[in-house]
Amino acid sequence: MVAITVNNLKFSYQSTQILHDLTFAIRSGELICLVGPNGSGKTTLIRCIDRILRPSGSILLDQRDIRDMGQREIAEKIGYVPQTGSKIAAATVFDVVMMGRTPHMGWRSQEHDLSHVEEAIRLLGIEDLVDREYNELSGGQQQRVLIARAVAQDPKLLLLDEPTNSLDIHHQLEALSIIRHLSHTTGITVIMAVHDLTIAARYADRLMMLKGGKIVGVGTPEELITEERIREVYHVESRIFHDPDVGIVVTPLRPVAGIL
Amino acid sequence: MDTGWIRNGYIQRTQGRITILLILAVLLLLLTGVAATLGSYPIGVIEVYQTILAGPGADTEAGTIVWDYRLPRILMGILTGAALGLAGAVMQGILRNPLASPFTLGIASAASFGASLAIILGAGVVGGGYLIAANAFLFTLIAAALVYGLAQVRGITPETMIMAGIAIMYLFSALTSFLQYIGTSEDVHAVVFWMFGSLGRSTWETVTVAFFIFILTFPVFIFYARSINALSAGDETATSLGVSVEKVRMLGMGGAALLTAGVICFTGTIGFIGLVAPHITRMIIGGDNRFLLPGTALMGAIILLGADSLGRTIMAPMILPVGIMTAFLGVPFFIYLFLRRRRDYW
Repeated sequence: MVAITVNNLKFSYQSTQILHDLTFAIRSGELICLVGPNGSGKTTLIRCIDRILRPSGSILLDQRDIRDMGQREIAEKIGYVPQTGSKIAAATVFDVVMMGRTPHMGWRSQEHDLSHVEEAIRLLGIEDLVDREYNELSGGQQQRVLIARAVAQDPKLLLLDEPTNSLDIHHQLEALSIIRHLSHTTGITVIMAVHDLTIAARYADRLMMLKGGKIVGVGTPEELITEERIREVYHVESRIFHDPDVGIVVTPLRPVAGIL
Repeated sequence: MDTGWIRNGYIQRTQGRITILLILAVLLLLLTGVAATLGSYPIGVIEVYQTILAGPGADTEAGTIVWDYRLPRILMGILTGAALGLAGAVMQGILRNPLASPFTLGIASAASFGASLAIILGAGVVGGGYLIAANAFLFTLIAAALVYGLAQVRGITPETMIMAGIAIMYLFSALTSFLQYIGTSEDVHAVVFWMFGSLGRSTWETVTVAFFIFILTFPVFIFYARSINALSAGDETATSLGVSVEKVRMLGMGGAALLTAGVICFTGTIGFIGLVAPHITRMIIGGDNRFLLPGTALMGAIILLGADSLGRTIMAPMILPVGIMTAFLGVPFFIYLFLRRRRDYW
């Protein structure tokens, strides 16, 4: 079943066109990693899907155009984990995770709201942080809190913008395992922007590679990640290995000469 | 793993916050009783409560003193402190800025200009005894409308609103200075005195106006408390959580301006309380606006009434303007709380 269909999506900031005519479909329950160099439009695409930005072209979520859905309805269905870095004033970790219930709850929180919050806190392993001030946490801890907030939101589609950016390798693997586990057990569809090709290849069902606001290719890591394509898209010479346990391993060697 | 303790912790914190609200309310009631005993005519605390409970129109000397003279001033003090505190908490929330206050939008200088216009030129929209108040009220709302108009050109963000507010503040300050420059020294003195902020002009009419504006805006703020909470995580996150960011910000700003205009048009500008009452309350009750907003209203009322009571007694029979007293009283308390705080809020 198709979870999300995007047709002729275009977006510009003032006169600069960021996304050029993107068309693609993602199946329900899939975990898609967006990869591509800086400025390729990964973050913009994620913001367009969550209707934080207003692009032209249509985005259908479960066959319904998100332009016909209210903001709150979109929030009930799509969760978004932005990049870390901004502060949240006077909020404990519990408060921040509870925020994820905003589209679902009224003024008072109900039993099931608290259950979702507890479940998200447990899943991300941040029980020992619940009473801490969000602003006092390390970048990696904040990242896990933001993922927990999106999990508490109980969305059908989860968007993550470089969720492993500020995590050490242990917490990177842990966070991505949690996200994949969520996707495979609950059927939640996941789209996340990831920089590291090895990490993306390891956890994604399919990859979508962007460059300059256009889709270079969509496919399984084996189909998409080749030394030629990495040279074309990233201007980097690389070597690709196949590890029996983790699959594709991309080792960048040097920037392609003559580009600068 | 059992995670019931997380839920229990939340329920306990919520109960704790409700308890704090109740304690603040009781403190305010006690302070009201004490404040009504202050003055040249001696009335005991018990007698004050009896007189208040007996209702107005009791034909006793104590009844007249309490109902006609002391209660209007006390109630105006409560409403002014509550309005300024609440407006400050809302502004800090919607602008995500710890330095925001009801006066961030240039409201104080606009009100001062309106009052100056009435005092110096005798010009205004309404004649009679409420010329100054009507002018101050009107110009406060004009300032808010100008800030909104300027800010919405580039999108209603904290940055655009604060920039527009600063511009408007300097505009009205310059206009007020101009009026003072051409005004007589007597008039200028009256303007300066107005700007100190005082509860001396309180009557049952001013209490009624301030009360209705408070009753109109308070529920709106409380209704949007969760949305203001989400705003603290940034516009983008709030949007993705289903909050209409611009609507909440516009309602918050409009409500705060109305609330502020409704009291300072009668009292003159009383600074500091709108900045500090939210911080003090946040340190005690936390950042959840569902509790912070009512808590700040109570805290603002307590501080202002306390300051005015002290201002009336400390150099009696001379009465110090409450605008001066709030700073004298609030600053040390604020610095104390600021220095001993354990958490990094902003």
